Amino acid sequence: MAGATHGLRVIPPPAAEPAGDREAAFDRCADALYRYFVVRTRDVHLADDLMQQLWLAAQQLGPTVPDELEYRLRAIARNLLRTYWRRQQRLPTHVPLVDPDLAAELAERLVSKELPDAELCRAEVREQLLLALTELPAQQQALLIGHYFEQRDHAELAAQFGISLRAIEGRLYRARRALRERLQHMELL
Amino acid sequence: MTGQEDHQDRLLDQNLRSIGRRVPLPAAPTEQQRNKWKQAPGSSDLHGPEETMRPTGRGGHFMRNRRMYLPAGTALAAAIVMAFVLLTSGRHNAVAAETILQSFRDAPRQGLRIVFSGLQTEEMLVDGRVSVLFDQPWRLGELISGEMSDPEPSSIYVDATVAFSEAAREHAGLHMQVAAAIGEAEEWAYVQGTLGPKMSEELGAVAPLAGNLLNRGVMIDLEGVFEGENPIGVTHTSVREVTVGDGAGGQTTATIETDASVTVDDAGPRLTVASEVDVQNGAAIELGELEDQLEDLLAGRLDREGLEALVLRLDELAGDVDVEEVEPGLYVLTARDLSGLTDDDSGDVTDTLAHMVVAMGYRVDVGVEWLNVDHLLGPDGHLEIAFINEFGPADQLNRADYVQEGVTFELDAGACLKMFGSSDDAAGEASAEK
Repeated sequence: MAGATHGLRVIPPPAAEPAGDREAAFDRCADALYRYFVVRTRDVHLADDLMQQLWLAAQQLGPTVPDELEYRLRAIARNLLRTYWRRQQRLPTHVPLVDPDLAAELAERLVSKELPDAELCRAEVREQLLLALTELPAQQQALLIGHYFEQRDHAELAAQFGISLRAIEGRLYRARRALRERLQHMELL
Repeated sequence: MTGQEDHQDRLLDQNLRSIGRRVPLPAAPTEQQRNKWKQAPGSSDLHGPEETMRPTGRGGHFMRNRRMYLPAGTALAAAIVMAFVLLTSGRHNAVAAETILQSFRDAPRQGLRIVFSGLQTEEMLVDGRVSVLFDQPWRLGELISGEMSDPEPSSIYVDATVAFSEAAREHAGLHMQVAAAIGEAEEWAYVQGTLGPKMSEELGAVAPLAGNLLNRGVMIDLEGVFEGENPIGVTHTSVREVTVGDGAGGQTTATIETDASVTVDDAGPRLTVASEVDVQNGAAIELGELEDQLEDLLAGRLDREGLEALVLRLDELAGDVDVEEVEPGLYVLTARDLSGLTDDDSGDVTDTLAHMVVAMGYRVDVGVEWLNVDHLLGPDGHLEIAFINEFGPADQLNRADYVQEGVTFELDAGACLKMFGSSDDAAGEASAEK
């Protein structure tokens, strides 16, 4: 019997993504990865170059199971960026850098009181928030950006993602929690 | 969700709404941009990890002449000398030469960051960086004069790629990325790459397994490995013969023997590099005397007459030099065309030195902060040395960046050692249990 031998149930590995779906999988997370590069380089041309490298890397990867591609592309994106800065000999002074202490403090303040405008406008706050946001999985980024940065309500998001209002609320809650956790555990590049 | 979690989530929701209205996001990519990404040629100026691990793409660029070792070894000396020359010759008196010299000699240093890229020889191509902090501050002058013994590294971060060309006899085709963090906070090492045909042949039946592991990448956790009294380490001795033609049919041959060893024990990691150059038939590059003078200079043994003689000699060597105050208090000294350092008539060494660019950053009240050498060993060769007092973001490595879940093989070396401990240990434990 397929899948079982001598009473021991063998769980088959997840089916690998068909080769034809690779481009679609890349497209699903491309916006998030592009944003990841732009926030960290402040250079859209460089971000374009890095996305080209990422596309090449995506094609060279072996078979992946669904959802694995984004995880692996994120790791490659981090390495591409690290390699780029290394070849530039030093981290530039004009791009935002992760400050783990500041990010952790922000995570705490965001859930402890309503922050005044003056604090929200601080560059360090914006930078740490964007650095954390752009590290989230593409779908969570899309939800948070759609709701908070593009001011779309739950009904619009439900229509966009093709899920119920209740599901949107649940996913938004998990995305907020993920953002907070990311801020609490930000790591240097 | 508890009441407190609910309250926190509501605050987070409100704060995100406020931030979202004020913080601009990067524009989404256009359709044209997306198309451009996918029409990328097979390579670009950016060298991602995949490309750096692919030696065949670079095989044509490996240097064919070993003579370049000599200029490489003396580039730093040249940088220091040039700085002194420029600032004592009266042409640039914005910064007192004595101050700079003193900062070189007497400023306490805690660590170094060395970045190198595109360093090519006939047999290999090396890129990477090393950041090291020592167990105590050290002064260059005291080290050179022997007043102080070599400081020992307390923490090291290394990330380097090495690709051997087809010309490398023992390691042809081998290319590896090696990274390691060894110190109080973390101890791990990572290696990834591919075996070359030579190593595969040598390994025989084990080659497929070793090749697969290396290809996937191996992360080795070293915590607990260095607690014993017995040090572990590797020593590598490299002997190279360098031959330089004198343009008249004669040759000068030098033997360069380099011993490099890395040992780790309970006192921490130690890196030792010793190099000896034996010139059999005259010196193709006239640096022997200059290096002696430099040593005297840095050790404070050179008197005024000696200094003047040195300045006069060295002032003729650089073809193009300048000192620029790039920001208040920060001077960058750049020297180009150091071909005056050699009388090599065959052209190779002269050509290399002529293209070499040496730069140095000096900050008033701080001292020399960095030294750069460009066009080292070839058009892409770059070496940068910076003095650091603590690790910064540019130094630290993140273990997670090297591990791909389900791909990278992770090995806990400390646990393995405990599992396969010595028979003495086992006997001891057995008797203790009784």
